[in-house]
Order: sequence, then C-alpha cells, then structure tokens
Amino acid sequence: MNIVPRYMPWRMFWVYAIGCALIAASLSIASRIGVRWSGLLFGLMMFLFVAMIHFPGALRQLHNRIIWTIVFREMSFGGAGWILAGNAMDGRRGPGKSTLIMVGRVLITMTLIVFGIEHFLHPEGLPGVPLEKQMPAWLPGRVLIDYVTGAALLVVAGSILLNRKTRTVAACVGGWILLMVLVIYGPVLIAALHQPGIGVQVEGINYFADTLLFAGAILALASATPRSDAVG
Amino acid sequence: MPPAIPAMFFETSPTVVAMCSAGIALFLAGAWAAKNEIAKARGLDKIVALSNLCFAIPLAVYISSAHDSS
Repeated sequence: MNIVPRYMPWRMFWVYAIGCALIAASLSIASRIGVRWSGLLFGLMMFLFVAMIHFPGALRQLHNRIIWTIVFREMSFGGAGWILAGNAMDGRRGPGKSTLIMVGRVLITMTLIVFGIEHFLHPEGLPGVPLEKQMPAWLPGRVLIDYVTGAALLVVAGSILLNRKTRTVAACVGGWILLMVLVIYGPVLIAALHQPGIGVQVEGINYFADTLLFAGAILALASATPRSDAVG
Repeated sequence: MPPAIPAMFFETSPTVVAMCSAGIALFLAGAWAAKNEIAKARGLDKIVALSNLCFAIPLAVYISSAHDSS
C-alpha cells in the first residue's frame, strides 16, 4: 500500500481495485474479448501510474537512470495497451483508432531509443529492460548480447521513424526479446526462486514478467502495422 | 485452493506461489485461446500472433504482487 500516493483517499481500496482491474485486463487480452476497453483502460492506468507515482519520483532524482527507465517502461506498456485497443477496433476507421495506435507508436518509439542507448552505456545489465540487475556470470558474451539487443531496439525505432519494414523488424526484435526472456530471464527466475528471501524471489518473477511484457509491447506494435509495410 | 497450501509443499511464500500459478494459468488459457490464430499465421506472423499472450501473462503475475502490497 506504500506505493499509493499519500494524498489519495481510501488507499487500500485502490490496491484491491488495481488487482481486480489487472484480473479483468489479463483475461480480456488473453481471450481477445473486449480488448478495445481493456487495452484502453490498462493504458490509462499506466499513464496515471506514471503521472502520479513514477514521474514525480523521477523529477526528485533527475540523475537516477533506474527511475527514468521505469517511467519509459510504464509509458511503453500503456502505449502498447492503446495499440491493442486500436487493433481491436476492427472494421472501424476514424480518429479514435488511428489516434490510439499513433500515441502508442510514439511512446514505444521513445522507449526503444532510450533503452537502446542505455544498453550501450550499461552493457552488462540484463537485456531488454535495462534496470539494475546484471547478467549472470555463467553467460558467455554478455556485453555482446547487450550491444546486439541495444542495436536491435534502435533499428526498430529507426524503422518506425522511417516507416520502412516496421512489421518485419518489430516482429524479429520482439522475437529476440522473447528469446532473451526464455534463455536468460528463465534461468535467472529459477535461480531467484532457489534463494531464501521472498524479496529476491519476487524480484526474479518481476524481471521475467516485465521483460515479457516489453516483448509483448513490441509485438503489439508489429501487429498494428499493415502487412503491406513489410514489403516497402 | 488457497496459495498457502502449495506454498507449504514447495516451502516458499504464498505470494510467490500465487504469482507463478497465475502466470502459468494465464499462459495455458491464453495459448488455448490463441492456438487457431498461431496455427493460421505464416512465417514471422506466428511470433506476432503471440503479442496478446505475452501481454496478458505479466498482468496476471502482477495481480498477486498488487494484493501482496496490501
């Protein structure tokens, strides 16, 4: 409950409300029923988290890269939610659908650029979402993996900005991040679950889930790009 | 089944068991829901078809951590 801002009334209510909203959103998105609303509201929830919790925190610690990484991460998740909502508006043309997808693309592109650069500045962190945790020592070519991931993120951002082969590039990079989740984050999660502290175990699960969600965001961006663009 | 029972079996916290169980359950349900689309897709579109699944599993995992923070 400590993460709920102190000025909010009924702080316990909001914790349970968020839990219920996440249950509804996960079931809706997995079953593809009512994604128009679940994606839209999930995105809105993420933007409220950024505006009320993460962004004020980042302004208090301007030089803390981790908090800024979280700000961009949450914005990309919110943007991907809006892309899923826009995608779910099948058969509809109009400002609503295109605005949702455009806002989502802009937010994800900004995140890709920031994360791509961070991979080059901190090339021993876990790939995908560049937070504090370092890559496990047993992994060969750790720096190379981070450089490849950083370059891949920048290539997706470039393909979106140039509007060239976005679907193909985003699908490839989403697949790469998914591979990283399975090959690197999977063992990291299993190692964390064997540690005694609950905090370490939850952290391992969160790293796995965050990066999987980031892969989902990039794949959502790919799914919102017309197939004709893949040829161009 | 409350998460405390498997937690005793695995000798870990109910929160961790709930997070993992929610993620695995959503993975199974989401994979079942997406199986036709994945089967129909060709080439790279098979990866793109996983987008909703990749998005939904972490949300299910976060449910348990949201309730734990209460």
